[in-house]
Formats: sequence, structure tokens, C-alpha cells
Amino acid sequence: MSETVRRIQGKCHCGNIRFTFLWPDSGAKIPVRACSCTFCIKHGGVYTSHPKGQVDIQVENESLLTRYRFGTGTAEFFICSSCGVVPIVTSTIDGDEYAVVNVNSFEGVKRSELDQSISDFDGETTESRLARRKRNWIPNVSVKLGPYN
Amino acid sequence: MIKHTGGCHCGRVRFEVLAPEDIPASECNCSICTKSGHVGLIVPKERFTLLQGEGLLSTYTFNTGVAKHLFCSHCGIKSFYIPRSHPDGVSVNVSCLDAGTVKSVRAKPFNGQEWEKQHPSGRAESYPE
Repeated sequence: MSETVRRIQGKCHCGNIRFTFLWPDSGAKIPVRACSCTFCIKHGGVYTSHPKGQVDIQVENESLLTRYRFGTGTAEFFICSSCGVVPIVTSTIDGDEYAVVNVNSFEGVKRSELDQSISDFDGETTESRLARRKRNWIPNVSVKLGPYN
Repeated sequence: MIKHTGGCHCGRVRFEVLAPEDIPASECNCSICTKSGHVGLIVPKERFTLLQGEGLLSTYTFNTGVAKHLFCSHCGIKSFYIPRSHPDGVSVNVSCLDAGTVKSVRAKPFNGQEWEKQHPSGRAESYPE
């Protein structure tokens, strides 16, 4: 990646789930999407991703991680069982893991740096949904379980 | 005042709350409301009834520990909690109300990042109307 990569840190409220998101274009506003699915409405989920991005996720205490699925069951919502916050959603497609990050869990990013829109993916077939995720979601995902270094 | 119903995502936690059809709501910018997407309808506890799911609620506290942040241990959704500003009341997440009874939401920003400045006496004196 070039030197314009921006490192964005994020976490749930208690800090059990943390991530470092490498955003490849530090000069631009970050486009974010308020998802209108039944889960994200209730959690106020607002997400971003980048098809050339990278996210490194670390969960300190795996026993306090709930991976929640519903609907097509193709996305996993990372819920912190300690504080209830959902900083990350992943989807495994053809054996590869993709992710989006919840911008409400970002640390040190101003609202004015975000460019917000609303997404409605209702009615999409499972096949086209997975194809869209493959195109748009963060393709380089690592999940580390265990105490922070 | 009419009866609204609502709950978490998986349906294990369900409640009803008496409130106007034009809902007065607080959009707080504090760390936990931002991260959990809470838009609060704050009512006295007499107007709130938990119908099911009490045993499934997880409680999270931080800072002064006065607020009890309650969420469904299965789906993580914080459909209501006990707020620091109204420890004898309930803050219902407007986004968790069922469709059909809410005519409008009158959302008012609340600067929870500077909570003590908003409530110098340590709590709110009245309920929003």
C-alpha cells in the first residue's frame, strides 16, 4: 500500500473487540452507509469498507464474543457480550473472509470526515448480495483471539 | 398518550411503553450512545412494562456506574436502559419500537460528551414532553 494509507482505530465500548482499519485513500472523505436492515436499524449501524482496504481485528476475551446471524445467515455480526456494541460485520464468501466496520466505533475520526448515505439491500438475492460484498467489502481481514500484546 | 410496543432484534426481549404518538427523543453524542446507536425516549418507570426477556438482559456499567446499560444477551440489541439522568426512569430506544404507532419522532440533540454541564445537580429535574 502507498504512503497515503490512513490507520483508523476502532473498538467496542469496553475495548474487548478492537480493530485497525487501513483506509487506502487518506485524502478523501470516507463514504459511509447507514444500513436499513432490521438489525442495523435497532443498532444504528453505519458502515464503511474499501475493496483495497485491510482490517485487523483483535478480540481479547473470546468468551465475550457473540457471532450473531439472521436472515440469509451469510453475515456474522461481532457483538461484544460485555458492552453490547457491534464494531464489525464479516462474511465468508468462497472461503475468503470479507468485512465492514461500524464507523460509530471509530476512535478519533470527526463526523465531518464522513460522507453519509443510506443503503437498502432489501429484495436482493443471496447470490447478488455475496457478489456485492466481494466487490465492496474489505478483502484483507485478520482475526486474532487472545490478550493484547 | 398511547401504548407502543417494541423489543430487541431476536424477539426475546419485549416491552410496552406509554408515550405520545409524536415521540420526544434525545439524540445523545456520548461514547456509549454513539456506539450502540441509542435514540432515547425517556419515561418514568410507571409508563414502561417489560413483557418478556428479563432473565436474558446483560448489564454494562462504566464511569459513575449509575446508568445501567441493558442489552439482549442473544442479539446484543439495547432496546432500553436505565439512564444516569433519570435513574428512576427508563430510556427506550426509539429505533426498537414496532412500526404502526409512531406518528413522528421529535429528536433533540443532547450533548452527553459534556454530561455534567447539562446536569450540574447530577440528574435531570424533569421528563421530556
